[in-house]
Formats: sequence, C-alpha cells, structure tokens
Amino acid sequence: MVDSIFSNLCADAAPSFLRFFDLSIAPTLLYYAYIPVVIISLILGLFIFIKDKRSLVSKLFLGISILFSLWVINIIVQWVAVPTSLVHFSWQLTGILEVPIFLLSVYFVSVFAKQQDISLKSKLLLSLFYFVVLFFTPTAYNIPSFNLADCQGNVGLLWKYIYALELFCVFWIGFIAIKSYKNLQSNSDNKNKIVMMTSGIMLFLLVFSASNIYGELFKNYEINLIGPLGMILFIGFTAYIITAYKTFNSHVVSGQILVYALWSLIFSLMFISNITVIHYVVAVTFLLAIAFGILLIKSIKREVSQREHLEELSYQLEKSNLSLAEANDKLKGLDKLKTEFLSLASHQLRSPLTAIKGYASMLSEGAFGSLDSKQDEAVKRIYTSAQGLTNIVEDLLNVSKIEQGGMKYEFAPTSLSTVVTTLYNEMKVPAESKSLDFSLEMDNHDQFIVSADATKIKQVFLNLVDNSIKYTPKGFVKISLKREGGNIIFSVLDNGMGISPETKAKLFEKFSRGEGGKTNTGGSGLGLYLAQQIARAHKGDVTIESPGLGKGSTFIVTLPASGSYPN
Amino acid sequence: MQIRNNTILVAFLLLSLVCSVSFTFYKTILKGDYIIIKDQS
Repeated sequence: MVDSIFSNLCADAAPSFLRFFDLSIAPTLLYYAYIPVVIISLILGLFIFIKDKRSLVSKLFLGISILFSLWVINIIVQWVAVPTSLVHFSWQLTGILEVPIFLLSVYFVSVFAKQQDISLKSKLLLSLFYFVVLFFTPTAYNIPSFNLADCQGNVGLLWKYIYALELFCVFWIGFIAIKSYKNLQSNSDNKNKIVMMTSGIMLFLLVFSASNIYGELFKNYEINLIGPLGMILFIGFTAYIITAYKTFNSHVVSGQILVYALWSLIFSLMFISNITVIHYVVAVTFLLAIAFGILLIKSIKREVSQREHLEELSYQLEKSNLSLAEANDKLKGLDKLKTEFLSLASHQLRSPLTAIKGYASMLSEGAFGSLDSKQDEAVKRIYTSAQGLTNIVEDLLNVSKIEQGGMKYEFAPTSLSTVVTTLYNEMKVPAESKSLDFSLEMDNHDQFIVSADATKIKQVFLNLVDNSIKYTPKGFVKISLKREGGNIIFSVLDNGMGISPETKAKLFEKFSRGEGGKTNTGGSGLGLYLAQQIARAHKGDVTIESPGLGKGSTFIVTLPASGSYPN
Repeated sequence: MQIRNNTILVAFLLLSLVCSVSFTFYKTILKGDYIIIKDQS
C-alpha cells in the first residue's frame, strides 16, 4: 500500500510531516485564511445547536457548518499532501462534501421560512440529487486524470452536473424565499428576517461556487484562499439571524461571535512562518481587531444605556404604582361612603312611600268616604306609581346590602315547582292584558327541590318574567323548568325585542339598560344585576341567549339541584 | 411513520456514502487506478 501511495509524488514537495504531508508547500496565507474559518464555523454551528438542541433549524445549521469545515480541511489536505494518490483521493471527495452544503442550505432555508419540516417527497428529491454524486464519485466521471506538473486533478463530466446543481440550488433558495415572503403579509419582522437570511445564504453559496468554478476555469486556485474568509462572514451573519430569530439575547451573541472570531484570527497568526508577510498579516489582524473592538464597545454602550433607561422606567413605575395605590384607597373610601348614603337614603324614602301607599289604598277602599270614578282612577295611579318607586328603592337597598356584604339569605329546601306555579298565576294577568301567549312547561311529578332562599329566588324569577312581558309587544312568553344533569334550569323564552351582542355584554352591570330601556323608563337598571348576584349566592348563575335585535331572547337561571347548602 | 421514513432515508444515504468513499479509497489509494499526465503547458 505504502509503495503504491509513494509511487508518484508532486514535484515541488518532499514528505516531511507523517511522510504524507509537506506543510511548507502551502501558500503562506493558507493557514491564516483557513484555520480560523474551520474553528469559527464549528464554534458557531455548535453554539447555535447548544442554544436550541431540539430545533430542526439548529440541527441543519450545525450540519452545514460541519460539512463546510470538512470541505475546508479537505482543501488544506489538497494543498499540503505530497503523494499524488492522496491528493487525488482528496480531490475526488470534494464533490461528496460540497454538494450536501448546497442541498442542506435549500432544506435549511425552507424550514426557516415555513417554520415546518419539508415533505418526504422533497427529502427524496434532495437525496436523489446527492445519490447521483455518491454513485459517480468512484468512477472516471469524477476526476479521471491527475496532472503531475501542477499537482492538480482534471475534472470530469460529474463536475458539470455538480456546478449546474449548485446554481440550481441557489435559484431554488431564491424561489422559496420569494414564495414565503409573499405568503407572509402582515408580520414585517419575519419578512425582514427571511430577506436577510436568504440573501446571506445565497451570497454565501454564490461566492462559494463562483470561487470554485473560477478556480476550475482559469486553473487559479489561489482565489480559494479569499473565498472561505468571505464565506465565514456569511456564516456568522446567518448565526446572528438565527439567534435574533430565536429571541436569544442578540447583543450578547454578537459580542460572543466577535470575540471568537478575534481569538481564532490571533491563534492562526502562529501558523505564519514567513517573516516578510507577518507585517501585513498583523496589520490586517489589527484592523479587524479595531473594527471588532468598536462594534463591541458600541454594543456594550448600548446595553448599558438600555439598562439605565430600564432602571429609570422601573423607578417611575414604582412611583406611579404608589400614587395609584393611594388613589385606590381614596376611591374605596368614597365608594363605601356612597353605599352608606344610598342605604340611608333608601331607608328614609321607604317610610313615606309606605304611608302614601297605605293612604292611597285606604282611599281607594272607601275608608274616607266613597270616591267617584275620576277620583278613584287618580288614587289608583298614585298607588301604582308609589309601588313602582318602592320597587326601585327596594332594588337600591338590595344593591347596597350586597355591596356591603350585608345581604342575608335564609337557605332552606325549597320546591321550585311551587315557586314557579305561584309566579305563573301572578303574572298571568299582566301577560294576558297585553294579549300575549303566556305558557308554563314543567314536569308535574317533580318538585324540583333546591336549597334556596324562597323569597329571593322568587324575586329573581319574577324579575326575568316581568322583563320578558314588558319587552314583548306581541307574541309569546314561555316559562319552563327542567332538570339537566345535576342542575335545575329555569328559563324564560320570548319573541320580543331581543338583545344585540354589544348590549348583552353589559346587561348584568349596575344601572345598565337594554334596548327596551329607551321605551320603558320605569326600571332602575338594577334588576338583572341583582338577579345575577342572588343566583350566584345560590351557587348558580343567570345567562342570556339572544340571536339579535328583534329576534327574541331567553333568560336562563341555573341552580344546583342537590349538594351543600351555601352559608 | 414520518420518523421511520426519515430514518430509512438517512440510513440509505449514509450506507451509500460509506460505500462511495470506501470504493474511491480502494481505487485510488490501494490500487492507484487513475491516469497520471505530465502536462507542462
């Protein structure tokens, strides 16, 4: 084997390192240009991968970085290997390493832009492109002959396919980017990232294949020394976009990337043996260090000023929180005063109203002598209006009791069927006076026992039925009582004026009036609020269903049929 | 199913890669089966 390896040697070299390599024949700048590229590429690939091990984008980026590093190492071997067989072997492997960089880039951009894995069909297509390269690599279509004069291989037909495929991949990436850019309409942040990422990758691949094709056409391989340096910038750029995209801390990441780049450049200074070029190389490194340094200082300054700004904001926030807390305490005090006032005023109003109602009733019954029909009508009006006022005062009093936490409930097993039947009989008169079809649907064999304060629950039901009758000019009002799972459902269905979705959201608030409030001015706007509060105190709830204005509505009270007695 | 298909595809590609590299190694390094030209132009 060794004999066959050393049967031919490149003319200008003598094997010194491990008998296979002559490290001195490479161009002076080879190590300075290539070694940082390998290190930075691997560091960035691993860095992104460690940040998010599960993400497909990170895995693909690591794959591209590793392949790119292997490709660069393979090129170094081509420069420094001495036996033609080894140089030739290395030349033949170039396609195997180069093509998947392009194919994986297509895969990478696709996943990055669409945020999902590609289909199995696309994977098979990409694999097929690569399989052709794998199949023809050992054949004479790859590198059929080797020129001993310049120690270079001569490329075969396979390389026409490879160059065409590389250009095709670049266009493919452009196509994917344009397609996803068009699909993303609103999110401009993502659009920018896709544009930056694809232009970075396309430039990287174009520089990559252009320098290879140029070297091949003009037999000038020195250009490859510059190519990878340019490409590493794009790898860094891509890494930065990924980190920014993944919302890692981009300032820290860019700082880290710059420091890694600087370390590798300084490290590779060690590989320069030629003293005449060292001045230039140090000068370049110095310029790069200045550029990186300025960027780093800027980034740190920005970071510090942002932190100061945040501190200032947090101080202001704390201050406004304190004043808000003070204002809140004041408001609570005012609210308490308001409730107390309401309660006192209602009490004071109730006593004269009782007197008015009492005397009106006595007058109407003829306790102070008989009245003619006109007088009787006037007295009856006084009684009805006083009754209306009493109801409003009662509502106000109840609200203030609820808000003060002073509403007392006397829970006892209550038959809802009795409550609802009584209610139905009471409301029959007002419903029929408006010629409404008023009906009750209930299973007569069920008592519908719940733990409730009978008076208060009747008030809830009465409120809802009264509302339905009030806001249904003609048609029907239907009451029903039924069981549903562990609950008892009381519902009032009508074909009245209905409720719009906007009103529905506010209907259970205090002093809120539905559309009917504009025509019926008698209500306080507290009825539904009270109904819901009382139902909730019974571990139940009140809800409304309405298809819309003019389409009727259904009020539903849900109460637990059995279980613990609320305290 | 998707994961199984992916595994089969990757396994197939890796196998092809190993075969291709081994065969190239055998032909080039072990057998030295390539044309050497000494073109000075």
